[in-house]
Parts: sequence; C-alpha cells; structure tokens
Amino acid sequence: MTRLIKYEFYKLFCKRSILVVLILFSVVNLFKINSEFHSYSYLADGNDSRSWNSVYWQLYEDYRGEITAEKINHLLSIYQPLADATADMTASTAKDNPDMMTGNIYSDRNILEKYYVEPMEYFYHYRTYALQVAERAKENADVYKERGQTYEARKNSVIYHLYSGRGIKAFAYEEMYNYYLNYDFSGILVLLLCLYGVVSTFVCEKETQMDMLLLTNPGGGKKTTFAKITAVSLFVTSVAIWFSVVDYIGFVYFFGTAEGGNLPLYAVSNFSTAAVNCNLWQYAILSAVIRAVGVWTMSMVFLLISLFGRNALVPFVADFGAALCFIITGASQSCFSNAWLKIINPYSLLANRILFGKTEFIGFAGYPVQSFQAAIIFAITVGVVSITAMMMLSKRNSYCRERRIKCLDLCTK
Amino acid sequence: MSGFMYEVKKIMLCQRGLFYIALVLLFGTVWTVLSDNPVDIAMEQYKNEYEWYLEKVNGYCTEESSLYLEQEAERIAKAKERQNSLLENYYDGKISESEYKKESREIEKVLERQNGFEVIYQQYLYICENVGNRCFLQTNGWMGLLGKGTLNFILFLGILLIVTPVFCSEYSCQMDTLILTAREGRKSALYKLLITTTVVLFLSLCISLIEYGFYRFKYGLPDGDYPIQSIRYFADSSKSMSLLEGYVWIGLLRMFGGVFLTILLMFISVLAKKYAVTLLSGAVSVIIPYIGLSKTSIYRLPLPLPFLLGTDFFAGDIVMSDALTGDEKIIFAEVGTVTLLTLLFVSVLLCTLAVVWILRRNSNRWLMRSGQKKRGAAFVVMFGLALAVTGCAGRGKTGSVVYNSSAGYDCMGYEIIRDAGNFDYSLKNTSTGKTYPLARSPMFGVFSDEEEICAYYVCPPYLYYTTSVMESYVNRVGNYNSNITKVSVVELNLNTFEEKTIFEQMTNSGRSLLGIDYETGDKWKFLDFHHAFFLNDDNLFFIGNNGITKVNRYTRKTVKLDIPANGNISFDGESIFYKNEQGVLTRYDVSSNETYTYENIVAYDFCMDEQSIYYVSRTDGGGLYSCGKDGNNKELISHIPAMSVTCDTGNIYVLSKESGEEIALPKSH
Repeated sequence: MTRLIKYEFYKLFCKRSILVVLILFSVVNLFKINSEFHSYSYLADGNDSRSWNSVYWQLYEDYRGEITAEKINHLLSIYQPLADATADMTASTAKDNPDMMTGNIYSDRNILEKYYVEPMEYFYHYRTYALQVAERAKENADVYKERGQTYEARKNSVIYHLYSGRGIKAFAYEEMYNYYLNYDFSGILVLLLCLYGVVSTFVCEKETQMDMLLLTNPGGGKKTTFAKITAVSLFVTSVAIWFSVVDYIGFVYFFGTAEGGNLPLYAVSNFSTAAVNCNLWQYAILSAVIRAVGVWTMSMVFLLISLFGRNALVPFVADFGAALCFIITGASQSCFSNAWLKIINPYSLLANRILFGKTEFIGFAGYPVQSFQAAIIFAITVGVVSITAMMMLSKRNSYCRERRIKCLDLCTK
Repeated sequence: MSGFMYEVKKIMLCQRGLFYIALVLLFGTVWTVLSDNPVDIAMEQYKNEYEWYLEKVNGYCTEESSLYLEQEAERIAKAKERQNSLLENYYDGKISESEYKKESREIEKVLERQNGFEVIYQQYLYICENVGNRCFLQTNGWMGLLGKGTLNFILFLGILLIVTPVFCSEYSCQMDTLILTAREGRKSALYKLLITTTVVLFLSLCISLIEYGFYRFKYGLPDGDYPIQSIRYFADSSKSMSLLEGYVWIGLLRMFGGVFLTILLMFISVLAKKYAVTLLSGAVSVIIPYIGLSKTSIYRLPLPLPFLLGTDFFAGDIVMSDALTGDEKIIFAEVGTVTLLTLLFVSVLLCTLAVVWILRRNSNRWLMRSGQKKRGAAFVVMFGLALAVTGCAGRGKTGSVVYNSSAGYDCMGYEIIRDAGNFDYSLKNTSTGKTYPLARSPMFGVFSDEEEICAYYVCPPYLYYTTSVMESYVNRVGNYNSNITKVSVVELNLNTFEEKTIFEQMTNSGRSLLGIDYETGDKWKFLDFHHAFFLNDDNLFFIGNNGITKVNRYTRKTVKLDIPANGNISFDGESIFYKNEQGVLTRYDVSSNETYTYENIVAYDFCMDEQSIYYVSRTDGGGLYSCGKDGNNKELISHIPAMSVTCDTGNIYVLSKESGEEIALPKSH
C-alpha cells in the first residue's frame, strides 16, 4: 500500500507544472508580504538616523523586557512634555529640529504614542482587565447556577479559568505579529494550488481512459482510490504547512525581526479576548496546523466533486466557485457573533483568527464547546464523510480472485 | 455542412456552449436585480418631491438655479420658524382658528416638498465644489450602472467554462493531431477563435445591455449627455466625457477584457494542452491581482482584469489623510489617457501575438513552410503574458407591551441604571439591591472603549438592547482598511438571563474584504446615530435624530418613516403614536402603513399605557388629561399646568410648569 501511495504521489504531484506554480505562488506571496510591510508599518521609512525605524529600535533597548515602574516613568517623562506641547496644535512644524529624535515635535509624539505609550498602557492594564473578566464570569456562573442555567454556568466557569491569571509581564515589539496574524492572502494561494493539484487526481485517468484499465489491475479499484486520497492528503497538508512557513519567514525577514514571539497571544490588541492561552510563536505553529486541517477538508470536498467529472473543466469551475463562496461568506461573516456560521465554513480554519481571536462557545449536550474546537471537529467530520463517500462511490476492482474463481466455476458447470 | 458550422455545432452543442451562455445570462440578470440597492435612498424615497425641484434646476448649475435654491432654503427655514410661532400663537389663543388654518395652508404649501429639497440641496453642495463639470440629475440609475468597480464573477466563470474546452477537448482525445493532417486544419483553429470571441463579445454585450435595461427600467437613466463627474464616483476625474459615453466606453473596455481573457485562455490551452493548467492560469491571472494588488497597480497591468473591471479607468484620484501623521496619501491614482492608450496598445499587441501563435501552432502540415524559425514569437508572447501575470436571526417572542421612548420601564423587578463614570449599564434588583451588568458577556466593553450599549427596550420577559462595536487591526490609511463597526440587537431573557443576538449589521463602509472593496453605502448609517428603538415580531424600529427607520427582520429592507422624532414616541405592538409637526397626536399602523390623526388632541407631551393615553393639553391651558386609545372618554386628571408627562405601572409623573418639580399622580386618581 505504501508503494501505491508513493506511486500516486509521484504521479499526481511531482510534476513540473506543480513545482512551477508552487515557486511562483511563493514568490508572489513574498511580494505581497513586502507590500503589507510597506503599506501598514510606519517603521518602513528607511534607515536614516531620523527615520521612525531607527528611532524606534534605538529606544527599544531602553523599554524591552519586564515592565517596571521606572520604565513607565521614564517613558512618560519623555512623552508627557511632548503631548502637552502639541496639545493645542500650535507647536512648530519644523522638520529639522535638532532637539527632536525625528526632527519634528509632532512626529516624536506620534512615534512614542503609537509604538510605546499605547502598547505599554495596554500591556500594563491587561492584567486588571482580565481579572475584571474573570470576576464577572465568576459572578455570572453563580447567577446562572441559582437560575438553573447549567450551560451558561459551565460556560462562565470556563471563561473564569481561561482569564484568571492572564497578564502581560514584558514589553516587546508586537507589530509584526499583528499583521502576520491578520494576513489571509496566502490562504487563497494555498486553496488555488490545492485545487489545481486535487482536481486532476481522478479526471486525468478518465481523460485517457486509464481508469478502465486500472480496474483490471490487482492494485486498482478501491485500493487505488484510497492511495489517491492519502496522496492528496499528504500533498495538501504539505502545501499548507509550506505556505505557513513562507509566511512566517517572510514576515520576519521584511519586518526585520522576530521579536515578541514570547509575548502571550492576547498581547496583540486584536486578540485581547483570545480563545487560547499560548505564546505568539506557539500560536504560529497552532495556526499552521489548523490551516492544514481546513485545507485538507476543502480538498476532500473538491476531490469528491471531481469524482463526478469526466474532465477537469466542470469540477474545477464548480470547486473554484464553491471556494469563492466559502471565502467571501467566511470573510464577510467573520465579525458577526453567530458562531455556527464560522464553524461550518472551512475558510474559518484557513484564516483561523476568526475562531481564535474571540472567546465564543456553542452548546453541545449542555456543555460549552469553544468555537475553534467545534470547527475542527466539524471539519474533520466533513473530511471523513467525503472520504467515505469517495470509497463507496469508486468502482470495485474487476480483478477479484474470489469472483474470478466463482466465474470459472460457473463456466465449467 | 461547412467546417465553420461543424465548429459552431461542436462548441455550442457538444461542449454545452449554449447551455453555459443561457446560464450566464440567467444568473447575470438575477444577480443584477438582487444586488441592487439605491445609492441615495432619500432620492428614491422622496422621488416626486425631488423631481419637482429637479425640473426647475436640471442641468448645469447656473446663477439663477443657485439663487433659486438659496432662496428656497431660506423660504423653507423661515416657514419652519413661522410654523412654530403660529402654532404657539394659536394654542395661546392669540390668533383665531380661521387665521391659523389660512396661514398653515400657506406654510404647508412651502414645506410640502422639503424632504425632496434636502436631497437636491445636498446635490447642490456637491455641484458647488466644481460647477464647471457637474450637473443636477437623477443619479441613482447612473450610479448603479457605472459606479460598481467590482468584478462580474458570473461572466468570468462563464468565460472559463465556454473557452477552456475549445482546444482542450481535442488535446484530451488527441484529435488535434488528426486535425493537423486535414486540409481544413488551420481554418479549424481560426473558426474556433472567431466563434469563441463572438460568443464572449455577445455575452459581454448582453450583460451590459441587461444592466442598462434594468437601471433604465428601475430608476430611469436620464440626461446621458451630462458630464460623468456629475456622479460622485467620478467626482475628481479629469476626463471630459458624458455619462452615456462613459457607459459605452466602460462597456467596450469590458468587452475587450472578455476577449483578452478568451485569447489568454486559448493561448494557455494550446501551450499546456491540459484542462487543469488552463483553468488555473485563467483563474490566477484574474483572482490573484484582484485580491492581492492595489487598485492603482491593477489599472496599470496588461492583463484582462483591469479591462473586465473597466470603471476605474475613468475615476479620479482618491486622496485620504492619515489619522496619526496627518500626511496625505493617494489611495487611487487616476489612469491618464496616455496610460490607458498605452495599456490598450500593449494588450492588443499581446492578443495579436497570441492569436498569431495559436494559428501557427494549429497550422497543418499541408501549409507548413518554415516551422522552426518563428518559435521566438511564441516565446515573446509567453514571456509577455508571464510578466503580466506575475505583475439572520430567529423570530423573537415579543409579547404585548406599550413602549414610551420618554418613560421608564417595568423590568420585572429590575431597574436599569447607568454608571455616571464609565457609562456602563447594569440591572439592579429592586428587592435585593443586587446589581448585574446588563451585557451578560464578561468580556463586553472590558478591553475596548469602542464596545458600548446604545439603547434598550423592555418587553417582558425580554429585555432588548443594542450594542455598537468597532474593530480594526490596521490604524494606517492605505489601500486596505480594516475598520468594522457593527450594531447588534441582543435579546436578554430576564427570567433566565439567557442572551441571544437577534439582529446584526455592519454599518461602516470603510472596509475591504481581502482587498476587494466592501461598501455598505449609507443604507445602514442611521444605526450609528440611533438613541432608542423598539420592535415587534416582524420589524425593528430605530429612533434617531432624523426620524424613525423601520427594518424588516427577515428581508432587512429599510424604510424611513415620516415621523418626527423630537417628542415622545409610543408603540403598542401594532401602532406608533407620536406628535406630528402641529403637535397633534397621530397614530401610524405599522402593518397597513395608515396614519390616523387625533384632531381633538393637541399636546405638549404625552405618554401611554395598555389602556389610556395621558397628555398635557396644549389647547386647555396645559392641564393633564387622559383618554382611551381611540381618543374618546377624555378625562381631566390634573389642573396643574405641566410641561411633560411620563408614566410607569402605578403612577403618572408630570413636570410642573410653575414649580419645575416632578409631581407623581396615582393612575387610579
């Protein structure tokens, strides 16, 4: 069987066209990450000694690491005079002021406010906020218990355990992770590449009528189908993980740093109500795995659809249309509170911040299940159902020893 | 049958070309109808009033029309002022009824089209920014027809379905080699090219005509000779053309985009000879730049995509100011005529080279003279193309309750209190004194100041409240915005404290979805400014400063009701009660949309409960009266002149005009 899977893998995916598309998409992805850096980050203004980039990293050494009262006081002693001087917008707009780090008083205030004061304030207060959530959840749990609402009581108890103990002790650069966690473009590239790889799995043999011949082979029929499904699974998960790696390396390279990896996930303000307690680098790995699950599920559905096509045309357009629907509905529904819509759409697993960015639950037999857990279970179920359907729908091997013996017996009689 | 007809039969019947054409036209029409929303809702709602003014100022803004509008604005403002004083004088007995009625009729005549005037005045303000190239006209039809810069996915998928099998089907069964040995071989490729190009041109033309027909039928497309800058989408365009010319040019560019995509697909299919490669290349050449590149870059690429979109070739610069640094940033740079012509020339050249190469590759051995020499041309086309390519809620269980926007609520033993410091709402149990946060999610409002409760409405056993939440992850102005503002209506069961979101809507328009602009327009803007709301099983009613907007809970259709929102608004589940502009109590039936005026009740203020209406009479010296819901059984409750009245389950509260104190009167009084 392993040999059959190996053959199928080589036959279907070790092709020049797939390699070319993989390389081309990886390059396009890197270009896109570079454009994200230049579009979004104020630190993409070069290496001039008065650029925000240089000034930020000069100051960074003073404030990185554990948040202490001295660091906060030191930061405020620089920032507050600037904020006071610019409050009425009457300060000089000169861009070559030698007393200013960036040459302009407004610019100095802005860089300190955006990159130090606001994040430091958020980090410092997060512990209090989380404690507030935990206390409210505990109170809620008691209230619901009194009212006999078991599910709500359990849900609030989970929230209490999730938020109690949360806090951000150290200050670090988190901008790169903010944009990395909100980056979706590579998900589309992965889907297109997998669609291309998957759609010809069954149809390439139908186009050349090799499928008829395969049924007469001892390894043909359901065995070949299973080998194809396994090969596709291997291919799509490899592609998904490859692009997750390219994303991470690309962001680290273009932003010029991997600083902030040890910060908790909720240090990124967009993830303040994150569903899991892990570090940013741990989440990067978790995200890659979850994305692979999402791509695998969508690929299994694509594969099932392609089983009915005689050539790649209709399955490709049908799969492509379905993928576009998933993407557009997934992205447009991502900010709404209906957890079920996120759970049933595999796109949520591709852009998994939709699931991990918020603490959301659904009730299952009276027990609260976090939306990301439900989405993973649902995706795996859909994938397995698709595989089962493909195995049931694929033709049985004509080369069947028992049947041949029976047939021979009948002939001799 | 000629070779041409054989090819037509093969493409249209065997490869289901006709079926796909019908499908594209059907879905295209359905999508055009379903996705339509008038850009200016007020222009549509007050169409007759607006058209009355438009008739007078239609066309360029002249000194006369400008003077007329300014004078009309002054006349309306004065009439409103006069209406208020007239009303006061009449109720104070300073003028007689006949005088009042005579003057009222004159004032009403002035004010009868004020809603339409507001629409035309907004248009006037826009025109004043550049009087030279902006005109007064009905804009909704033209905005719908021209102001959509989005890709037509149905046409795109249709082209993929029709064009891909033309060559690929022959390669898959190795028919191509057989054709190459036939005398008609080369002509076969030419026929294929001609047929597919004609089909795609036909499809693009039909879709353009369907759109034109739909918008002409629904809104009318008058004054096509006015400058394109007359509609906001093309506000800063430097191109001098009329709206109709704009439509024709955009249509032609889209047709060329379709042909470009067709030739690209045929070129790839001849090159790769595989369905999957052809389909992937076609999809990638359109989708990747569409979601991955900024609009400015898209409109400078020799690819089918900019032509398929078409619209923004004629749009002007879009400049925005960065919130943090204040720097101005160009979001979209206008495509100059020279750039457009260059792009068109390069694209036509690429298409021509691709067509020549396709025909060369399909030349049969009978005609082949110097085969090897011109492979360079194919390489040039390939290189050129490669460069280009790289470049809804469940039904609420509302019971019977009377809502008064100015009164307190019976909250089943709870009191709703608002913290003066952090403005958080909480529920206070009146018997135990224990307080609970109104929003049951422990995370709500903790981490962000942009999460807040806007308004609430009680309908035992449910308490409904609206929340406004703003999220973003990019704070820098650029090609992609990430701002999302959403308004939700949450249902809280006061017995069990179970929560359920029954309505959610994104309200802001500054968002893009994977790089594709996601515009919500101004349809939902009223949600950002609502301060109270009420609901029944079918509709939600949001009260804002400009009036009440009714939202259907299932179809999401919005209708702005002609109800002034400056006084108390009551709702008994079937009708809305309010004071009209003359202070007369009026009832609006929400299901039949009929209005009934209680001619004998002129009130400073009113409130109501399940049985009675309580009002401070304007005609009887400010005393407090009660009457039945039908306006009969009028009873005097208090002689004390009052300014306002509210009520709860047991008492009526009046604000005394003389002492300024609140006096509680039991209902049984």
